[in-house]
Amino acid sequence: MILLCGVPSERPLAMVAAELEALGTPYLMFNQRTVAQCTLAWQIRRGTVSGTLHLDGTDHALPGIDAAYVRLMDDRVLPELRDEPPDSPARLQSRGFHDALYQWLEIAPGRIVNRAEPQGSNGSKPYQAQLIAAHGFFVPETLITNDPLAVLEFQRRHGTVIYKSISAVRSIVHALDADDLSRLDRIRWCPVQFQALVPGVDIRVHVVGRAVFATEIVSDRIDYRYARKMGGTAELRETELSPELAARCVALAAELGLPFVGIDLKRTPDGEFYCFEVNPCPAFSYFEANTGQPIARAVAQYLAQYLGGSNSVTT
Amino acid sequence: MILVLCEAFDAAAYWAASGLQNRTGTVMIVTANDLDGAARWEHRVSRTGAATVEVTLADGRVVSSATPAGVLNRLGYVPTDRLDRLGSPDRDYAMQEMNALYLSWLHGLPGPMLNRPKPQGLGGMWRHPAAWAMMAGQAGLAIAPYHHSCRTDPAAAWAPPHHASTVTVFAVGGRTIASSPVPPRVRAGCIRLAGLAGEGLLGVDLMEQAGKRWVATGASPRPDLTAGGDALLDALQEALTP
Repeated sequence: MILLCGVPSERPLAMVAAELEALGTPYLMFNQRTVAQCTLAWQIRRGTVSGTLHLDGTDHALPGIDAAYVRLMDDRVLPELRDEPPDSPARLQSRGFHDALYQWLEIAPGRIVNRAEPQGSNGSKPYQAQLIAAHGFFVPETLITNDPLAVLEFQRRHGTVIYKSISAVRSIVHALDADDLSRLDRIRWCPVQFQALVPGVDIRVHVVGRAVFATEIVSDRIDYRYARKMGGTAELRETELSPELAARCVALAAELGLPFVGIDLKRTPDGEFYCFEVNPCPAFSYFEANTGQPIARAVAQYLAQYLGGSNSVTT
Repeated sequence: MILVLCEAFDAAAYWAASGLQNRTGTVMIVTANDLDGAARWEHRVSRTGAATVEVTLADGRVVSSATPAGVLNRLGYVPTDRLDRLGSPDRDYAMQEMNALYLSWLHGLPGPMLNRPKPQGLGGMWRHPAAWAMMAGQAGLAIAPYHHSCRTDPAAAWAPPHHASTVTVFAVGGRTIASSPVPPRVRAGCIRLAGLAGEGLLGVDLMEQAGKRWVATGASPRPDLTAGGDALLDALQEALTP
């Protein structure tokens, strides 16, 4: 059995559910918004985990769940809990259920897309860059400092420089301009990440197992994700990677322990490829809606291949 | 040189630093508070992923990737004293930024390190007791049955009860040190567990039950080192000084 976790109306989750239905593959849906009616209990004995998940009035044995697609939202902000005080029984029940679910997903023997632990590398961009570069990708020249003079020297060497979050929080890319330089002294309070601008064309690569979907983005803004919000444009179109580059993307995702990722590449005018980051929980629906690439179907197939356990995998 | 990174209150790290200083004569202790008050940070990642680090502390000492060092890394959390002066929500954002920076610059230090930083722990990965139980079973160690349900207190689950009769086996660089006699097959299981966990140094808590059965009750990448005595200091020195 396949388990989907999240809010059913959330676009990526809804798209994978629709594809499973199209494939005729049955699945269970843990709808976070009905968490009050759900229970979960499990145990570990001799290195094996077993237990029961109660959903929609039915018990499901955990060993029968072969694969899961996880799109859980922060349970603390579920609409059903909006008016609940911090320690209300409803909130405690929700927190307890989600914790039991998260911990089980980390140790469940099936195909989990994706487990939480390997997603952690995305929380530190320069840390992840070091992992990425170990797989043969170039990464942007990076300086993290609280020293304004070091920034000016970095800018002199590299020309156009951008700055962005070191972590995954507030991760919007900005070009370092005269206004920023006038308040550069403020970085003394907290080190900031600066990078040499890499010119070229953005390419988002979704890897699902061994399947690769590459999307080229032409935008008039530095950060195409916010182009439309900032009055710019972003055009998406399907593109193809060389077999060697596609294989490297697959290997990178596998090495990070993430079966489904969104890899951000840039192809420079010289034909070199830089990798900016590996997104461990890609909201692929934006790319599929703009290009028609069957990413949701690939996720559904990837999950369905594991039905019955690892012995049933054929591709 | 051996660099010891630790919290200001980490007595086990000071004990290890003192022992290693007596053996090697070249130990530098840098506490989280020292790092919190650092005067200058410079961390670079080149386009091929080569990382450099230079942290100038307030007292003038420098932690640099250019100075070869083995690192006993006992950092648990990003220090917050300075950040606490910031108002929310910038304080939380700054915390995330500093945690991301620490993970990266620690990862960028060359040379042997016990333990290497992970996204789930600067001094080695913190795992839920369920994850340790599962992994210990896979390593061939006996484990007590572990139960979890939606009625389990998520916070309490991280702190299982400590038993007075617990023996800690330290797995370091392929060898084990224990303060009490522990059978070789159990020690071998501890080494396998450290390997599965990807930790160069792991403390595995064991309890002897009736019938000479040793049961793993927990594990930590930042164990209390003092129980390891001179044998553990020897192992640490060997692992940290190539």
